[in-house]
Formats: sequence, C-alpha cells, structure tokens
Amino acid sequence: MLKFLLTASLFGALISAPAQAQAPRVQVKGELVDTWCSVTGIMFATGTAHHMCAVWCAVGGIPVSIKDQQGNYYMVLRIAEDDENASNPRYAKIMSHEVTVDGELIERDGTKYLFVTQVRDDQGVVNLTHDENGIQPFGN
Amino acid sequence: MSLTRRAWMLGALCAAAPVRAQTRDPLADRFGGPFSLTAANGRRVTDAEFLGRFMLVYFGYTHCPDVCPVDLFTMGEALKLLGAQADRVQPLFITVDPERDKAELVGEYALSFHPRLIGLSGTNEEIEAAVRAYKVRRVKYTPANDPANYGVDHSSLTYLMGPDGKFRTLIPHNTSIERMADILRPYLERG
Repeated sequence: MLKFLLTASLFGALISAPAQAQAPRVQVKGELVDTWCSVTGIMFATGTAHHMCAVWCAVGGIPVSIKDQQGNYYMVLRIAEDDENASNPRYAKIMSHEVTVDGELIERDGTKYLFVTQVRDDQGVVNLTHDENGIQPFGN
Repeated sequence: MSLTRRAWMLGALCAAAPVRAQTRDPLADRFGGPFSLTAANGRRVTDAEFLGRFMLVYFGYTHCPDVCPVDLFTMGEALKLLGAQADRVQPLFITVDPERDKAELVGEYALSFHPRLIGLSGTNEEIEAAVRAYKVRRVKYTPANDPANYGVDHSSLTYLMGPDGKFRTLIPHNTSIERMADILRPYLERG
C-alpha cells in the first residue's frame, strides 16, 4: 500500500506542478523608439531627427519600445540573455534602427511586453526625418 | 486492477484539475526576490515584513533630476486616488545610490511624496542584491569637470508585488496618475 501511495503521490505531484505559461512567440518589425518621447508626443520622436535623444533616453533608463507600422508599441524588457530590463547600453547601438526581432510577447494591463530572443534583421536608421524636423529636442 | 495501475489512475485524477487551475504567469519568476535593507532611524526592513500586503516597489535616487520625482509623485497621487484600497499597499522606494542616499535622507525624501512611502538604503552589497532581484540596471556616470555631482542612470519601472511576495505587474515610466490607479485597482480587488 505504501508503494501504491508513493507512486500515486509522485505521479500527481509531477503532473500537477504549476505549468509555466508559454508566452506566444512573435516576430515584430519596426523602429526602436524611446517610449516616453514617442508616446507622449512631447516632441517629434522618430527617425534621424530624434536619434540622439532616443539614445539618451535609452541609456538613461526610459523604457524602449519597438513601434511597428500600425503604431503598436512593444516594450522591450530584455534582449537575449541580458540580466537587466532597461537602461541597457546595448539598446543605444540600435536606437532608431528599423529592426525585425523574434521574441516572446506578454500582454499585461494593456501593455505589450517583449522578451527579444534575437534581432533577426537590422536595417539601421532608415527613417530620414531630420531635414524636415531638425535635430530633436533642440531643433536645427 | 493492479495496485500500480490504480496508483497511476489516482495520480492522474489528482493531477488533472490542478493543471487547468494553476497555469503559472510567465512573468511571475522574472522579477522580485528577498531583500534586507535599512529604513530611516536604522530599522532593518526585509521583504518578509510585507507578506500579506501588496508592495509597490520603485528604484531610484534622491539626486535624480527628472525620472524619479515624476514617478514617485505619480505613485503617491495614485495611492491617494485609491483611497482606503491603498491601505493594502506598502509603497517602497529603494535607492540605487547608497553612497549618497543614507537611510535618513532617503526616508525623508520618500515621505515628501506619500506619508506611507518607505525609503530604503543599505550597503552597496545589499542594494546590489535587491537591484539584481528586480533586474534593475544602475550605472554611475561621473562628469569629468564635476565628479561630486555624479548621476546614476537607472531603470524606471514600478513593480507591483502580491501579498505572497510574488510579482504581479509592471507600471512603466510616464504612466498617468489615473491610469496607474486603474491598473492597481483590479489587483487589489482580486487580493
């Protein structure tokens, strides 16, 4: 009987351990923007016009998002095996770039969070906006 | 029916319901963990003290020129907006700059944003442990012409931890007061 109970308990425990919810895997293409300037509209905040400011914000700890062509924001919580969730100098190298990334999407309270597993494609800064909009935030 | 077969069937029955009910949050284990820090008047504070209540945790520093004052003001006002519901929430402000932010200073600073906001400091090692648990990045930068007036770049997310000490949700920088209250309310109602 003891063997019976042990076997049953073990089997039950193995199966009933809380299942790690699988976050859907997605591919997202868009421009890497600093979420503060971009969402608030405090200034013109895309492309070359805003590149310098986007780098400052990213390094300063402002959450970074990928803004896709439909205007959706995907807040990047991590790239690859990074330990930290923001203010990562790694982001500075690709701010304002048009990138395609693979990652896990987690939606929470209306915000889309992305754990990027890899940057699949990096087109660099392709959105040339500085002629028309100057260099933000100080203008020409 | 053999004992072994009955055992497998019993195990399967025991397991079936919990599998459906206990799908773990994919974010649950990514943020948070134990900390042991110092509040004003030298009182030691650990995460265990707040079990049974929600914790609203923010990392920053008292010399922060922009991000921290905005986020802490938002936090304080959102808690006021929640009224009595906010009594279940313990707001915490953990410094990323223990070199300048001693416990008395960070405690006094925190109180200027909300009467129950506890400011916490500690040794560099204690702060580093908390920072790592919450996956916060902090980088000190020192101007060459004014080394004493250094800054600390830091992550700007606010973390809601549940009564079990586990992570519930993130609140990004620049969330409005009303939006923050709207985010918090359903978590507090669910318990």
